[in-house]
Amino acid sequence: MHAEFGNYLLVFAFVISISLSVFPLLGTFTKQMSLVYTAKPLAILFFVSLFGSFVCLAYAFFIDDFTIAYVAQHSNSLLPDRYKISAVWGAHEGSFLLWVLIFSGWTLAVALTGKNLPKLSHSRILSVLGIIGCGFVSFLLFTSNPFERTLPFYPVDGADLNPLLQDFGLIIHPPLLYMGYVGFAVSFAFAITALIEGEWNATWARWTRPWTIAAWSSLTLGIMLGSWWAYYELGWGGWWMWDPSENASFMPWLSGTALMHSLAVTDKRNSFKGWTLGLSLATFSLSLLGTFLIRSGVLTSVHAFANDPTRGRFILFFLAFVVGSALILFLFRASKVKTKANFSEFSKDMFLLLNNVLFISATFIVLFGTLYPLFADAMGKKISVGAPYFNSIFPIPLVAIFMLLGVGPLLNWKKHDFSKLKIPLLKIAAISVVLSLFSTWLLDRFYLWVFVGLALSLWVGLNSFYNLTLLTKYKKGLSAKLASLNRATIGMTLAHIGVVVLLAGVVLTSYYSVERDLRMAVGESQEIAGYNFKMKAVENVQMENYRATIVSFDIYQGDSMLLTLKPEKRFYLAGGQMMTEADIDATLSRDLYIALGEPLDNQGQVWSVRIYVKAFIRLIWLGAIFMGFGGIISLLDKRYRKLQAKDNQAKYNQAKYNQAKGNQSSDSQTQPDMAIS
Amino acid sequence: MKSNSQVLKSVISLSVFVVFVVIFYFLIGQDKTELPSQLIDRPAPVFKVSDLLQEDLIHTQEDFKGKITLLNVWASWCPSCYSEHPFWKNYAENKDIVLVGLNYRDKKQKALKFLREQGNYYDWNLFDQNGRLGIEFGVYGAPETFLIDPKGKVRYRHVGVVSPEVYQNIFLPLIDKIKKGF
Repeated sequence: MHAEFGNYLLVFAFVISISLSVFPLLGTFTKQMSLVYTAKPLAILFFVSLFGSFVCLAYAFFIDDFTIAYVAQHSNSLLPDRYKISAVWGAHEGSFLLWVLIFSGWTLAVALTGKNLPKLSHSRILSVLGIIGCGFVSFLLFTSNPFERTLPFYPVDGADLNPLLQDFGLIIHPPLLYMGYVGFAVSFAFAITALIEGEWNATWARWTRPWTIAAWSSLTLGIMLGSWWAYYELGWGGWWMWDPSENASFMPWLSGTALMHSLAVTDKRNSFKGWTLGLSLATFSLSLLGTFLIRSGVLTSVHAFANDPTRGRFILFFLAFVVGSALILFLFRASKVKTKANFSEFSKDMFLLLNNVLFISATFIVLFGTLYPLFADAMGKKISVGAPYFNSIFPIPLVAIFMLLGVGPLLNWKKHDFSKLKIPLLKIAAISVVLSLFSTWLLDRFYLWVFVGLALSLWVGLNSFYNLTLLTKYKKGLSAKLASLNRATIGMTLAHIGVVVLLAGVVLTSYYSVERDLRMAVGESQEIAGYNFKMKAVENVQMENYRATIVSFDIYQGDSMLLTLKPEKRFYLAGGQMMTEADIDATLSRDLYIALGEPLDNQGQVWSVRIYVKAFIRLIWLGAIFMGFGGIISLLDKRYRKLQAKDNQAKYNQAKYNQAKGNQSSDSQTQPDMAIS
Repeated sequence: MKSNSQVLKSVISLSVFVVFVVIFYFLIGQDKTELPSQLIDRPAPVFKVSDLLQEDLIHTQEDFKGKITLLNVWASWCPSCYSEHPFWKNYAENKDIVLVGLNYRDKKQKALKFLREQGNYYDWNLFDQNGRLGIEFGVYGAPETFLIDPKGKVRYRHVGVVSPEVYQNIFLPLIDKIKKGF
């Protein structure tokens, strides 16, 4: 029952998405307001039907309905309930259903919050989202239906979820990541609508900004969770490996970062319109490219889904249609919205322009490294582009970005008098260099990259604080100073501090971490990175549902004992499974990580042991969390809400203006007489 | 009025886009099973891993030397491994090669059950529970198969099921080549 119901709801969502892409858009051109007004209810229905469908699939997992092929392949009656739910998005079909559901959630959010937009634009935006949604739903329905049955011969029990995916990090990593990926569809739809209408100004940019920041924040946190999961679960101690699927999420992130900054210029200065529109289109196109690369089987990677050429072709046609029409629209209409920018070379505008250029270069570096092996492959040459390429080229734009990031936020729009800034900047630069030299000296070995990384971190960090003091210099007292800052500034500063923390973590962990694979017997000790690991005892314990061998290690620093780590080998009685439980002691400055390998003698007194001392690795994720939350805080800024009332009036005037202009020129569509609610 | 440079720009952008789409089109459905590997024609990575069946028996990369080895990465949680496994019975008849299993990220009891129920055609099995050796070999997932020559060098890497066609058309010619001393 539930399977059929879920399937019907999917078909229903398909029909709804077609209606949403056709009727409101048609209505906006044929002056039929009854059609224009269908956009909102259709968007709501779109979400509701997909949500219902998702619930059906989750229910099938919950009750172990192995007559559904997808459930049988990815679940098991013994799987704990929380993993049964996350198993819903444990493989291609279900994860794409989640993807579409999240997409419809964004559509719903746009539908519900669009009161202040001109009615016609709002409906057009929803229609564009409907077109994209239609592509997604038909892909799901026609190539990856999660409700297919295995009847009449269904298995008694399921094949179980890949044990790697039975993990908390993997329960929340995909939803957040997808929120980021498909969230960029909203700014894409705004941009398409603006191109159709031939009108794009600061008000539009202000409207797009929160959506872009929300998507960007989710993507940041989603990528961070993936990295964290890989660290503790894959056990290779790394946090980023330039895997193609990581790159697939990193490209929209880089271009989304550029977009976020470019939008700020359009919002405040009503310029950079071409850039902003182009980046809105490019960012979502890169999301689609990532989807294509990962789900078509073109790439082989940890995340690769089954290699099914039909799916690959489907996504490619969809991508060609969406990106192609966006490109054509952009090429023919963008000149309409462009304005001459007017700013001096020493201004916030200029620095944000450079930010954009650098982020776009960074995107191209990743794009090239990801696609080049594929294209070479098409020419019949097998090569792999790995970490060495990225590690040698990627830092170049990064260093430049950090140097500019120190100065950019301090500047005025349009023109800044450099003479006033020269002295403080020189002081901060000197302090950064000296402090960085001092810290590298404290860390006993000098590495150029560590010095550069720390100096840049300090440079940006100190400048951020300097900026805060400048912004609040007329307020007395700390609380008054803090209260005078708006949330956008707090969010921006937090995100920038996050980048700094992340950078420091990356250089420190890359150069000061120690990894050892050892053979150790009880009573032996090993000196690693200044810590003395003493294997103290082996004990076998009987717990409620498993038997465990616990090897305890005392860890000394000098003569004082710090703590005891107890990595375990567990043998689960019910499933007969062996599990390795690593023990990690995490502090900001280092992770001590011990995992047991195999017992190397019959008495179980000698073990192969893996010990990591990871310097400052937590800073990487902490920095990413700061960035994500920085984005969320700036979303809460009053001006996005307060100005909406004003916008309403502005929009009305603008729509009138459009209407007048539309009547004059023959090539832009005629606007109907409308009542703007 | 559009200027010439704008028209040129549009034409170039659109052509680049079309070229990309066409290349992607031809990439879809291509055989992605032969993968470039950093290891090709390099010695197998250094390792020390215990045997799946006999815990106190430790294998190292030295064990590959002297014979042609097919190293098959498998796991009980991998559905394709179940369909691939029966073929190994046939390949095991080839006395020129040693079949080695690399049990990847598995639980011991499940791995043993797999061998008990599906049959054990491997000469010996490496037990790589935490996937460390898999990382050394650059394994993406199971199944994957590496061809290692008597000098202990990795000669070929295949991702996915080694079907009889793949074995016949790719592995046998390579094995012949190695036997002739190349």
